[in-house]
Amino acid sequence: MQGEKEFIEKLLNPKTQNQAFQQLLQDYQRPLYNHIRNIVLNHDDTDDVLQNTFIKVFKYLKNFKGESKLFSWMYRIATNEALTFLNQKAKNSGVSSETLQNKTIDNLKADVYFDGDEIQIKLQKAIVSLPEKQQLVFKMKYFQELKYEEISEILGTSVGALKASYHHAVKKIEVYVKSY
Amino acid sequence: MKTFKIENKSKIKSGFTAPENYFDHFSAKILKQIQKEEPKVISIFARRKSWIYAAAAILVLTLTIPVYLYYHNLSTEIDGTTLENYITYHSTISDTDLANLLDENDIQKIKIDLNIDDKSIESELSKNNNLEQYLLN
Repeated sequence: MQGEKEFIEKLLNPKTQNQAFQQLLQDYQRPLYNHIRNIVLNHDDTDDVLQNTFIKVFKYLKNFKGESKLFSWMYRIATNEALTFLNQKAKNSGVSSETLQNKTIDNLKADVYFDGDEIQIKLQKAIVSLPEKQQLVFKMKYFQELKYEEISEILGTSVGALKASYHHAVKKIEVYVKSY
Repeated sequence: MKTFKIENKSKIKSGFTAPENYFDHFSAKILKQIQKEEPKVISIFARRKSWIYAAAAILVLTLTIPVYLYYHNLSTEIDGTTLENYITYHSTISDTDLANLLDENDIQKIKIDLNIDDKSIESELSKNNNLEQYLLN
């Protein structure tokens, strides 16, 4: 924990800020990219959201009180940014978030930055049919292999509730994949 | 129908990939954006903020001063002449009523104000023909 405290001090000190922020980017750009990409699904949107996330992290760093870990604080910003982006995009297109995501999944076959086949497409479609919270929990647990404790800190939900959410999500996905 | 168990199967990957060298350029792109944005945003906002506060303070003062002066001039005290006229023309107030309203202090004050010496009283009494009548009453 001491290491993180020192790192935050470096991030806030104008003399060491640039170097520390570069380090932060190196450490978190890939996991946050994957996290956002799992939510918004296409690369260009992920790029936009990831940029906004890091700019917000930099902007609000001075307000970070260290009550949670830097890791979960950044994931929380990324999650909020991604969900806001998705809802705004759906609103602008005049469709629901689910319809928009289904359309994006249909386009995945032609996406050069998607290296999957039928089973991946089917799994993505099954995930989109879930409630928002279950989608998030499933993606974070199954694809990103985060621990329940980490997800709990990011989403502000108890570990017990997360386990139940994940269990429901898995059951629904299995039923979906079987029937389609 | 074939049973599908997600936990029994080998892990299905998301299949999402990023363009080659994307992450090499991403850091540089963000650092450039931050350096470009930061001073501009802070300085303009800070300057605007102080101007807004200054304008608000001036506006409040400008509006408050005339209101204060107006109420300040509206004195609630009644001047002596108005009071005297009121008493004079108010027929229902008799001398006895006035006498009843005055306490010891007021009488002392009147004495000081009038400053009548004994000689004047004596001469006035000697001139007065109805003195006996007053004394009897």
